[in-house]
Parts: sequence; C-alpha cells; structure tokens
Amino acid sequence: MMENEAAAVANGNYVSGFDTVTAEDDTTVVIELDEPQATMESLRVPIVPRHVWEPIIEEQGEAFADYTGDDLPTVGTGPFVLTEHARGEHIRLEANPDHWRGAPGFDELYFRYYSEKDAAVEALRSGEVSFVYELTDAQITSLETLDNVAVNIADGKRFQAFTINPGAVTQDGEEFGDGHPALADRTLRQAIVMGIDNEEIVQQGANGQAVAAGGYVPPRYTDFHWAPEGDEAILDFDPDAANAMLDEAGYERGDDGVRVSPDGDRLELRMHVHADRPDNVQAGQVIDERLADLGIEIDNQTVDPGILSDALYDAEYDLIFTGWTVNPDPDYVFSIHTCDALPTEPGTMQGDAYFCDEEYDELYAAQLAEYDRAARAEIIHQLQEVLYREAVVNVLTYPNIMEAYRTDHVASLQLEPAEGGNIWGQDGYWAWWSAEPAEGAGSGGSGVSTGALIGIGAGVLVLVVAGAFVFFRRRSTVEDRE
Amino acid sequence: MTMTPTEADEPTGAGTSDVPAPAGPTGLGRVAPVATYVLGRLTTAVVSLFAVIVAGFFLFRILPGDPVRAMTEGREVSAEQREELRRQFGLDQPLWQQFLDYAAGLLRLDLGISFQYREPVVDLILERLGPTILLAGTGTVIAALLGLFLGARAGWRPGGRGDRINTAVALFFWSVPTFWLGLLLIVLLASGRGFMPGLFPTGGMVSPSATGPLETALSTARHMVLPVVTMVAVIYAQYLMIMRSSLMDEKGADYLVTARAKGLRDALVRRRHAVPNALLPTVTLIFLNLGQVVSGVILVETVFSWPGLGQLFYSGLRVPDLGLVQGLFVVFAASVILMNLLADLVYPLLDPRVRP
Repeated sequence: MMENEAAAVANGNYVSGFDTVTAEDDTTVVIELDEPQATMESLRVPIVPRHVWEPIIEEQGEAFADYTGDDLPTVGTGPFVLTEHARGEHIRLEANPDHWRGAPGFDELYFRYYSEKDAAVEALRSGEVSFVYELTDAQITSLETLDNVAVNIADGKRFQAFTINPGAVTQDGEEFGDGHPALADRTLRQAIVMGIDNEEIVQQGANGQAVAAGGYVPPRYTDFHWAPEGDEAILDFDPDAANAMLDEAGYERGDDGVRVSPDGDRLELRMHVHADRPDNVQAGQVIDERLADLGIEIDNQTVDPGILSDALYDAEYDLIFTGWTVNPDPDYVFSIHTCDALPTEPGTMQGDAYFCDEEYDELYAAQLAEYDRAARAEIIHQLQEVLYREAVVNVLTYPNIMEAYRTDHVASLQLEPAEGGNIWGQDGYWAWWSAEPAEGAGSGGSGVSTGALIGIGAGVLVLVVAGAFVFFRRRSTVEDRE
Repeated sequence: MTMTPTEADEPTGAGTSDVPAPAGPTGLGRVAPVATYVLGRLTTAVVSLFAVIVAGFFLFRILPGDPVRAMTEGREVSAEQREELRRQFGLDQPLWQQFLDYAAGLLRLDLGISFQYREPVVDLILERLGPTILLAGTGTVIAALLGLFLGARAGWRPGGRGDRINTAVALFFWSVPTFWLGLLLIVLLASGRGFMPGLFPTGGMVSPSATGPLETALSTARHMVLPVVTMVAVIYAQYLMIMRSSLMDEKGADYLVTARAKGLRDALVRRRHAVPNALLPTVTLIFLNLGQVVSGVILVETVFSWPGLGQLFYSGLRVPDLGLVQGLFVVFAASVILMNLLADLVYPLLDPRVRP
C-alpha cells in the first residue's frame, strides 16, 4: 500500500501520513507517523494475510487497480464467509464456526437485492425475508402493527443540510460560477438560517422521523456533538429578528415585497434540491415558504442528482442541498471544509461548500493533532461553532434510521449503540454475529430454511448497486463506513 | 383470392429460392429484384445501426452529471482516487478519442467496461440475457397468443357483447401503470395479508433454499408467475386490437363469400380463411416486439427485482454508467433493427402481394 502506487490510490487515506511500518514481533506492529494524527485511533485498516496478498500484488503489479478480486472463497476475518455471489440477485455468507469471538448464531446470511423497496416490505410481511432497512415513515407505519415484526427506529448518523454559495473561488483565489453576489455577506446568510424553522422541517419533511439539527455532528456521537445553547444560539428560528437584521443591513423591500441588496441585486435565489430524496423535496418546500416571509424569492429547482452535482461543481447555484453520513471519527466531514478542499481549478473541489476560513483551518489542524479525546472533542465543538456562525453549511435535520425485522425469525440481536442504535450499517459485524434464531424459526412453512437469516438489500437500485460495489471494492473507494 | 397457410407455403418456396434460382430465363429474371430488395433492406439496417451507435455514444454523454462524482458521492475519496477512476474509465481522454476507442472496440464485439461493476459490458449483458429472454419471451408469446385469440373473436362480431367486454378489459389493463399493477399483485398474492395466503414470491428469480436443477426450475417457474401475468396483462391489448381491426377489414372480403357459398360453417370460415389473412399485419408487430424482448420490460423487472437486462439498464442510468448504458443501448437497438430486417425479409414470403 505504501510502495505500490495503484494500491495506495485504491486504499485512499488509510496510509496517508505513515512514515514507516515495522513488525516488532508476531503480534506487534509499530506505525511511525510523519506527524500526530488522532484519526489513527479509529482507523479501521483490515489486516490482510501477507501470503494471500503478496502473490496478487506481484502478479498484478501496477495493474492492481483493475484487479476485481471476486474469486471465491475470499479471505476475511469476520464471523461469516462469503460463499456465493450472483450480481444483482443475492449474496450468500456462511457462518465461520472457528471465529475467534465464537461462532455466530445463524448458519447462513443471505442478502437479496430488491430493486423496489415496497416489494421488499411485502416480503418482510410474508416472512420471505427476515430484515429490511432504509425504510420510509409510511413503510414503518404499515409494519408497526404486525405481530411478528419488530420495528427499530434508531438515532441518525446522517445530517441533512443546505449550503449557501458564499462566492466560489479556487485555491488561487480565482472567482468562478454565478452565485448571487449578495450571499458573500454573512449577515444575509445568517438571516436566511434564522428564517428557517428546523422543527417545522422535521414535522413536514420527515413526519417527525428526524431530529432538528443544531451542530454538524449528530447527537448519537455524544462527545463530538455540539448544539448551540444560550448565548451561542444566535441563529435560532426568529423571522422577526431576521427581518430586522436585513432591514438594518440595507436590504430594502421592493414593490413586490422582494428585497434588494445594498448593491442593487434583487434577492431572487435559486435552490437546488435532490429530486430523488423525498425528505429533501419536502424540506425545500418549507424553506421556499419561510424565505418568502423574509422577502427572499426562491426559484425552487428540484432536480436529478446529476444536474445538482453539475451545478455544485460549476458553482452555478445559490442554495443547494447536501448531506453526509458522519463516522464515529468525524475527521473527514470536517476536512471537506478546509481551504485545501477548495478546487485547484473550477470543477475539482474536494468539499461541497466553497468554504474557507482561517480560524477553521487552525482548529481543524489542532483537532487532528490532539490525542486526548476530551480535548479533541472540545476543539471539534469549536469547529462546529465556526461553521454555524459563518452560515455557509447549514444543517437542518438528523433523519432517523428506520428498519424492521421478523421476531419469529430473529430472537435477538445487538444494536449499535446499545441504546437507540441501528442494525444495518453498523461499524463491525455485531448485529449479524450476535443475532440468535427464534424458537422454531423457518418451520412455519415460510420458505426460510432453518437457521438461515435473510437480510435484504432494500432501497432504490443505486443503493443496492453501491452495496455490491462496496462489497468487493470497499478498500478502493473507502466508503463512508464509520 | 383464397389463401390458406398450406397454399401460402407454395409460392413462398419459389420465392425463397432467390439466389440459386431455378435455371431458365424466368428464374434469372427474378433474381435481380429480389437481390436488390434484400440488399436495400440490409443497407438500411446497417445505416440505422451506425446511426444508433453514434447517437447512443453522444446522447449519453450529454446526460447531466459526472459518473465519477456520482459514484463517489457521499464517500470519502481522495482527488487521486477520482483521477484514477477517470483514467480507468477513459474519461480523461478527449471525446473524439473516446469515440474512436469505443467504435474500434465494437468491431471486436467489445462493448467496453461497466463503470460500476468493473466488468466487461458484454459479460454483464450475457449474464442477464437469459433471465430477460425467459421472462419477456414467455410474456410476449402468451400475450400474443391470448391477444390474437381474443382479437379474432372480438373482430368477427364487432360491437357484440363479447367484443365490448374483451376490448374494454384489454384497454383497461393497457392503460394501467405497470408499476402499480405489479405492486398490487404482490400485495394481493404474495404478501399474505388477511385471508390471502402468500401464494407467490415477492421478487427475485429463485428462492435461496432451492438446490438441484429440478428444484431450481420449479422455483424459477413460481417466481415467474407474477411478473409474467403483469406483463401479459399490460401488453396483450395491442395484439387484440390489431387482430380485431385486421379481421374486421377482412370480414367483407369476397373470398369469404366464396367460402360461405361452399357451405362452410361460420367458425370454419373464420378459422381457415379470415384469420390467416388477418394475421399478416400482426406479423410485423410480433417481430417488432420480439426485438424488444431483449430490452426486457424495464418496469416489470424492476418491480419484481428480476435480474434481467431491463433492471441492468435502470441501474446503469442512475449513475450514469456510460459504458453499460451505451452498450445496452446498442444491443437493444441492434435487436430491434435485426428483427425489423427479418420481418422485412419474411413478409414477402408470407404475402405474395408485397413481393418485389
């Protein structure tokens, strides 16, 4: 990874900052870093057996990147072994009886691809499958009342946000794009945030299945989470105060009620919304209405992800929706707002907001070098305060994770975290390793063979495909696993 | 003119012998127009195919969105990783170079690499071709048989009660959204709500517990029921309507008067004389639809999670996986063009009136 260039690229930031790696003895590895790096403490580098990988690297050389690695069985370290994969159909995993932590409760895990989530929900209803994930509020409601189904609503790992184009520049300071010039004014950006009621978005946009956001890191990460309180809470929903701020800053209302900036630009702002995310669409409508109260006219552009992505990278937007899954170590989602994440030339941005702030960059470097978790958390709180104050990246909600399983198939399984935790998308294999079959599972003529646990890849196909992609390539694209 | 299928075979035989024509001036005289006809059709097909290849390549490239960005969205990737992906997909090359590479690949039957699956597109297509042909082929055959049968009855007595009910039912299903009908069938027949047992699976092609060829075949058959029913319900109307109107046209023909004058029973007149002639226009339709069998029934495959080409195309469009969608586009178009060509070539054999 450190010597083979293709392998290094494929493995992304796993080894960035590594100086030397030496094996002291059979069970000790010493990694020397170029400089302190707190992310080392939660770096999940899979240990791959040398006798397996060395021949592959030797054989493939620089062509390593094209190596698909789909010869079964694969070598892994988990409680289940991949034994079968039919692309777009299913993945079969069999229990590893010799797993060091103990054999899992089920003999087999069988993941089935559903390209239509409603059909997957019906499959759970009929007992054809044991588990479905990424459900909507409506699907949860229809499953809640069933006897043999347990619904799990977990604290979200994801935030839903919109960013405001503060005037896109490259790292060299070259301006580009066509963002509304008035948005470079922090007062206007703050007023926009104050005009929006996150609680209303939770109710209207997510039917209550979300938590209104304050800071950047969701509350499930208790020590890194920050929410503005007391004097810090300068941007709470307060349309009157927002209107007063705009009046004072010289944004006068025109005859049609729409404000005009001190430079004479009418406050008509485009808003790019993910058409493929229903909660975004709903949130967009709420924002549209609320900003009208401030005398800001919104041109609501609910578009396909491709169009949205083009607008973002070309900086041809004013307000735009975004969202990230935050890892237990939140370093990455903060790194994308450093000045280094600005594009080197238009279209090459690493981040998603054209944000660049000196104080932020200093804090970012400080948290990365801080090994004391409490001290690091404190710096991460300050980072969030800067983001909040600058009002470029504006977090709206933390959507809940919604999933369901058959209690007549699965007696128990481990949530992560134990309180309010989720089943799908855990960091590690806890849920599937700990899952215990229910008494008499599979004998009810449900078509499930005894001891087989069937999970399903529900959701739109792109998620499903991404799942398959990640499955084999997870170290080449370093997915946002936590 | 009376023509039964057997009689039709006669002139057909003479017609097919276009190239090694029987000796004699008459034979030779027939070769030229037939060859011109065949050559003309072939040229048209090749030109269409070329146009499709060019259009497909550039059309998908003006789709909004960058494939690499879309594939890495929401993931922690470095700038180097994005560059590497661009290099692997050939997206770092100028557009004309990409097109030349693509065209050169096509000549070797190489459709390029799928971005999301990282496999040759040809392999992916071959893998999904079987399931699609199985599902869409079965659906098309049943829909055609059902539609033609009901259409012949409806067209024989237009305006009668049978016609009115048949046509209304067919048009109802024709206008129902496929997705909705599929989900409705799943809810009614697969999910086991209320009194209804879950008779059929909710999706997929084979159940995880099936082992051995016999069990797999039976399981596949069971998985096929709902998708095939959905597909047939939605498309059989077009066969019914064509057959119906075609038969109504034939109804007043003189040869039927002759047939009746011979004292044949009404059902026999219909079956032996009217239907064979009325079938001709449906031939084109069947061939056209056979071409589309390959493209599958995207919606049906998606509702029922059927691992076919339609679903593959859908997954490719979401990215956009340029390699995959343009490859599928060419294959879909080529199959329609090929079937059209076949229809053009076969039609004169069936109907002497359109012979060159």
